[in-house]
Amino acid sequence: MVRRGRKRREKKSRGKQISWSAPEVPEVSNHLSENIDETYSRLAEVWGNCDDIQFRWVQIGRRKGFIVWIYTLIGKELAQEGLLEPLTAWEKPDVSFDDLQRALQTVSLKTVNTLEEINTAIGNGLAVLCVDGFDQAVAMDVMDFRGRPVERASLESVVRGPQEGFTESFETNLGLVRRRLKSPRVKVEYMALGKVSKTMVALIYIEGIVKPGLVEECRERLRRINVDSILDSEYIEELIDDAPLSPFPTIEYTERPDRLAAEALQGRVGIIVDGSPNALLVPAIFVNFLQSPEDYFERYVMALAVRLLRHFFFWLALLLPATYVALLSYHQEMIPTTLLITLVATHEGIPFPAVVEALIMEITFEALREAGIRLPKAVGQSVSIVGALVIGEAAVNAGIVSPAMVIVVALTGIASFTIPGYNIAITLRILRFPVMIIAGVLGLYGIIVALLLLWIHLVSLRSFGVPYLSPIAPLVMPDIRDALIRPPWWWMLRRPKTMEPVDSTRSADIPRPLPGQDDPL
Amino acid sequence: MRPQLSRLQFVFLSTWLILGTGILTMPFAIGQFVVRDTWLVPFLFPLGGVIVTGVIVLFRWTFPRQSLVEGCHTAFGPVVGRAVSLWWLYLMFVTECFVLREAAIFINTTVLPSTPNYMVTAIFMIPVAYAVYQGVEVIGRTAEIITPIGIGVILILFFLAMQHADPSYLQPVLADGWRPVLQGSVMIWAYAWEFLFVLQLGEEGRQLRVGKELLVTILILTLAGVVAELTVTLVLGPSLRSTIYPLLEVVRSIRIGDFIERLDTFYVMGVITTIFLKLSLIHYAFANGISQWFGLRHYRPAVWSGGAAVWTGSLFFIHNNIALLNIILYTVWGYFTFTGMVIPPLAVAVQRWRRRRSG
Repeated sequence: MVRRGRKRREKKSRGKQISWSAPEVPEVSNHLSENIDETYSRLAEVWGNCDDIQFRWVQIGRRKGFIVWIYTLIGKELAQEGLLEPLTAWEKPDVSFDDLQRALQTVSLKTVNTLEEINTAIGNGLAVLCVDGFDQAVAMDVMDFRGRPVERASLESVVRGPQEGFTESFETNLGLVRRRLKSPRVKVEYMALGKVSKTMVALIYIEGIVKPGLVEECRERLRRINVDSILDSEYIEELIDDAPLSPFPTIEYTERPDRLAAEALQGRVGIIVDGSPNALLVPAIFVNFLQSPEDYFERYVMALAVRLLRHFFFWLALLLPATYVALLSYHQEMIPTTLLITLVATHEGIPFPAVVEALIMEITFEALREAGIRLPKAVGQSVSIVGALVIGEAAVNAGIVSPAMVIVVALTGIASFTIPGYNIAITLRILRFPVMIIAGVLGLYGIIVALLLLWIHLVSLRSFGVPYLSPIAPLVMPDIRDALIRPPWWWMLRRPKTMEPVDSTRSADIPRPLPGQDDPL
Repeated sequence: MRPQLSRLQFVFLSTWLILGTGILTMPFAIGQFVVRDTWLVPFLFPLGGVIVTGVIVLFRWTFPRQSLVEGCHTAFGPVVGRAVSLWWLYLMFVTECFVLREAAIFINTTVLPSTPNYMVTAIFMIPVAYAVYQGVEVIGRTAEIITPIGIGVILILFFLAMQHADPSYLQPVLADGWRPVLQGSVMIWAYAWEFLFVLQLGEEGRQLRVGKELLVTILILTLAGVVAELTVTLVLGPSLRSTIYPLLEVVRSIRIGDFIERLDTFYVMGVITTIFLKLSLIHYAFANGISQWFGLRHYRPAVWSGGAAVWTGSLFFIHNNIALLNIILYTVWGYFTFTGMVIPPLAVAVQRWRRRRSG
């Protein structure tokens, strides 16, 4: 009893050692002291046991000071040339704060007034200069952290069009977007989220296009986030989601800067998170997940057909195995007689009902797909291809599954690969199983009931106030054409009404190309 | 603010409110009186439809933004009003039970002969209650998805069925006179009274011009009726009288080559979705009415419990298909007409009299 009580007390006291709700620096001692020794001791205390932190004492005229930085983040040459050399070359007997700012040779420089600001600046890879006699300090950008270079987007790859993808670098990602949207109307708002990670998050939108209420809603939802760390954009996605219990994503992500730029032009808001190669896009509606950036880089006739095909394959990926199970188990009269004879013959000797057969094959297929993703790229592809071929062949030969079922599962797999949004493809993978089971129990009636439940759920969802199934339900007629098909650019004169843009005119006047038009020259 | 129905959603929902089960039973009901001239009957539907629309518009003028239950309570007072609205609630409950049982019998007859009826009805009520729980806006949006698909499928099937059309089945026109046509029309006027359920949409229909929307719906229903009856008569001819589900028989007749046949299952699935819409709207009206009758702040507590009651009622009230058809042929007309012609007009009259008396 006594031991248990002690353990409980120990556990309680351990919990009290770190209180996430308490500020890192107490409010009373947050302001910088003019006494450099006091500032040093307070910073040294806060950053105690951090071996990657460096304090470098300097003498500027008759004043002493120190520079503090995390040396794994800063560029040594930048610090030497921009910071140390101007300070060591200082010859006047005294220095004012303005002189100090003028003397430093760095691109980005800002004044910080509190210990908390200094801590944030150090954490962000800045060097902070504190000088005796001043109750403020200078933070300079001398960061030189080399991450992954800009590479081809791997998840949203296209044949034609820009190939660049986001990286883990916050600055690089913002730069990639800015290169595409150069207007000052493109606004970027920073905020630091996560008590420990202090991750930089940027809200990107185009003023004058985006609905102001949407930006405010995004700000508000981001401000409400109170967690210890944000290590990827997915953390934010889950924390600001409209329907966290729904299998359907109500926030889209992209790894393509051109996609973010295009969506901002439609009146959506982008969220870039430091350390994540995926930017978030809000609001996200169902049809967004079935659109590929390439739809707009190909000729519209081609893109139109492909987009329609994608919509068809979405539903095929969800319903094909279930329909096969229902037809074979309950509605054999619907299958043409010759085909039915073939199917029944191949199914003969299979010890399982069609639904069990389908479940076995689907689970195996999903396992192979998952194994293919987790293994190293070179091995993964062979495992999934060889696994599918060998296991499929072996299962048919062993009489566990019928060849028709293998074809159905393979077709379903191919159909699901046509979905551009990886997150909605995962949703499909999950939903396929309950639909198959209900089809095995109630046939086509079960499928219809499942579809009704699915539709009800979809129409009840909203993403940042926008109905998830718009522009289909509720019907927004002008937006329908860019939802199901891809109209030509000269037909898309207005931005989608669904996003309620302030300025709905995309292009004031595009002359429609006329066949046989004479060259004026 | 309560969720609103858009005009399009309202037209779709009120169309399926009649056509949801009407597509199953109307051709049968008409076929009991008239065979060759069935296509003339829908032309007389607007007569009944306009009368019902008049009653609805009159009620909404007198009780703006109020449902029928609320209107009864306002006009007759809390005690008498509750007694009067109980009749209306019971009508909604019984109708919902009939519709549910009708759907289940249809499913049992056509696609799931071995599955117990109570199982089919219970499963049908799950999406209905879920949709109602999510709100009338969700029902309206579901209608926006289902309607184009439903209309597309039905039109394709009708078009394919025309290969078996025999124009001689229509001749001679009016050989038996107008009497059978008028008898058939009286039958379908009973269906028009189902419009009354929209009276339970008080706040939800605030932005609607109900009279205009209902007239559009009547026009759609008339055209749909003419097309359906023409198809049925052209394909089935005199055998129409002996079939319970004439349109199903029409679809069954479709055969293209040796490959496309037995498309009736698609038709059945399409009908299930339209009955779902009808049932959802009635269940919303019922749950809404219950909550107003009991003075609840929200209708949601009545949704799943009301759904369970409807499921029980559907098994308790109707024992077999014959009983159901007898109710459609001999009871529904009087029951609906009496309710429609008495309760809303009486509430309107009392309210106007009270207003005049109070100056």
